[in-house]
Amino acid sequence: MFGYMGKLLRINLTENSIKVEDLDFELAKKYIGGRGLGTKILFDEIDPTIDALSPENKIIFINGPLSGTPTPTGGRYMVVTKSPLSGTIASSNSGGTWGARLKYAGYDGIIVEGKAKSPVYISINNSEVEIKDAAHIWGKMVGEATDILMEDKKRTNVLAIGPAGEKLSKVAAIMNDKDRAAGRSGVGAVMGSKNLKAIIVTGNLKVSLFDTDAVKAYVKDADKKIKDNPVTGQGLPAYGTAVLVNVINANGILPTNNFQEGVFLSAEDISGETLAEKYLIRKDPCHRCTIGCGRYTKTDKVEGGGPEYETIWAFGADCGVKNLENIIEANWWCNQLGVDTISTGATLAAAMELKSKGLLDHIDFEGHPLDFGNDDAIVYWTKKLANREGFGDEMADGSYRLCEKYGRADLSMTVKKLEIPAYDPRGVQGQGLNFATSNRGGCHVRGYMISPEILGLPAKLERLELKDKPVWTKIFQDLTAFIDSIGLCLFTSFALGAAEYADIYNSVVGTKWTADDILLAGERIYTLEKQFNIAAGILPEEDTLPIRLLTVPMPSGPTKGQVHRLDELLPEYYKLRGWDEKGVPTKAKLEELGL
Amino acid sequence: MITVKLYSAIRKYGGKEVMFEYVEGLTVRDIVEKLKIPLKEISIIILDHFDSTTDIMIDREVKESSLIHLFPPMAGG
Repeated sequence: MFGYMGKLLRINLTENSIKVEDLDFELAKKYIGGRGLGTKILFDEIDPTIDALSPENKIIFINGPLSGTPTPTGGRYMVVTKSPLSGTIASSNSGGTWGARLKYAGYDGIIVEGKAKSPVYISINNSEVEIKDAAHIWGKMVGEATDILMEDKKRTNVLAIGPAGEKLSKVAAIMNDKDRAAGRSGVGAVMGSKNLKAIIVTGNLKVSLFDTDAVKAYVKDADKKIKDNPVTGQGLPAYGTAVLVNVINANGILPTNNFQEGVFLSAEDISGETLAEKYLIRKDPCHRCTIGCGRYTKTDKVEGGGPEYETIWAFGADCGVKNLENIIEANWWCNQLGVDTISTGATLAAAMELKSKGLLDHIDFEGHPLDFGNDDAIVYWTKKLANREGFGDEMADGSYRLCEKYGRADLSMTVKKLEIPAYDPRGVQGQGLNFATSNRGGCHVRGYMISPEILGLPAKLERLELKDKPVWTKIFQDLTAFIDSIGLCLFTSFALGAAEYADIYNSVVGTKWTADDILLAGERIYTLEKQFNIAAGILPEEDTLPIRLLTVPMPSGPTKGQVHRLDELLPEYYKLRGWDEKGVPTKAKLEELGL
Repeated sequence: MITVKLYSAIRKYGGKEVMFEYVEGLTVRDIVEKLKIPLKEISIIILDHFDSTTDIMIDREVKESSLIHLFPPMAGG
């Protein structure tokens, strides 16, 4: 098969051993790569009931067949492991160039096992692979650790954790190329638990293509579609993902003050328009990206990548903060200390609500009270959370464990203990169904129903209605699982459809897949993840939303009076998936999917 | 008065906010034409908290104190 390098690295940190294994092409054909193949390998090799931070867990860094090829946005990789935050399958996707570089070094992926006796990093220079002492970079922030490892090396990229991952924060991220994040599910803590600080990769090989001329033609066509599309060709490059702030707010679904409201009166102050006007230095595209939604921003205090829409929401509206400069600074600290911006901001918001209800009166806030609207607190407590200092230690494992400790788990706006981002489900019924059924918990990009429900892409669905939401959610989830497995960015789907993905995939890999084959492969991956979760002990009743969103009507704004009607959507969704009424895949469905 | 809020790329047609005098029978289309915004540049119309396809929304009549949000094609996430 083309598109693959045909090799996987298996590195056991307990035994200090390095092996190069041949990729099983039969598995690759069925599970593709990235999210799909990573999940299959993990499920085959670990007991899903293990402690995610034990040496028995494995962490897999894995590319898709299109990573490192000339295909548009072909540079994404996936981190697959068991999540210490949710206990579910974790698959965190990241851009930048690190993933493509791993292909250029000759590997489709790396399986890391065991635990090193002391801090180490992995050095890969094509066929030379070493486990090295990381004492000199342990404890350092992501930027500094990256600079030390990079020196003046060419054709080299670094992936690293920050202090938060070292201290096993369950919201710790893995950062690559300094400010690109495999952010969610606490994957950084898994690296930390293995005493693995970083992976530096140098590579100069090429990825083989099945039909070079066809790839060129399809890439030319796709590049044109991306450029001509007003979203990918104009909106995202000009304003980044934060262009969403105003439209989400205008629909009354911008979660404000820990999801107590859906309208943030200062939305304009934290919008993509304001970001572009005041702080944007330049676009910051990932490898082979012609969209360039990434931001590079500067304030009087910090300069770097981001912030994204979800980050601005988490530290902004969700914390009641309208000071964009401080939001940018909080984002910078998240990247440097290595924590997920969504879970961190949302955890601060949950703490603010706990405090507002008098549950944290005994806490020393060190002169930086966690009150809604306190723009100083978001910066101060982000640092404390990531470093596990003072009350920050209580927040370092996310909002669910924090709120549970104070007897108010209901105030944690999470699904399966993963913080829900940036869209109040009470006003977007399909997106709420996606949150509830996402296999990694509260994630917006498993099946981004905001596209049809708010943005009218590829067609407009009425956001408050239930009709057709289960079938659309399933299709979006399955297509996303495929895109996450081939190594492209989900944002290409704003301009490309399943048929275009099939053409590009076939020209690289040498298959003859149709759009239906793509959706079937995606469905297989989605169901495999569900099987992992069931084996891990995730209960059927965890396919749900926070009780507030199901029972407390939105108090004001364009979504006033609405709750999420999950119980009316879930049965049809399960039926469409061929799962029983408890969300367990039926034997017939498993056989149909070859699972 | 009718308040019209414009966002991102279409702010070039009138800034962040424009006010219009109410006239009986006035539609969203009338306002878009007054602002000289090409229809193809508008992707999302929210009128008094309600949105639907632009085909449906464009010919809705406005009220005396209506609030209209106009957005160009956009996405994120």
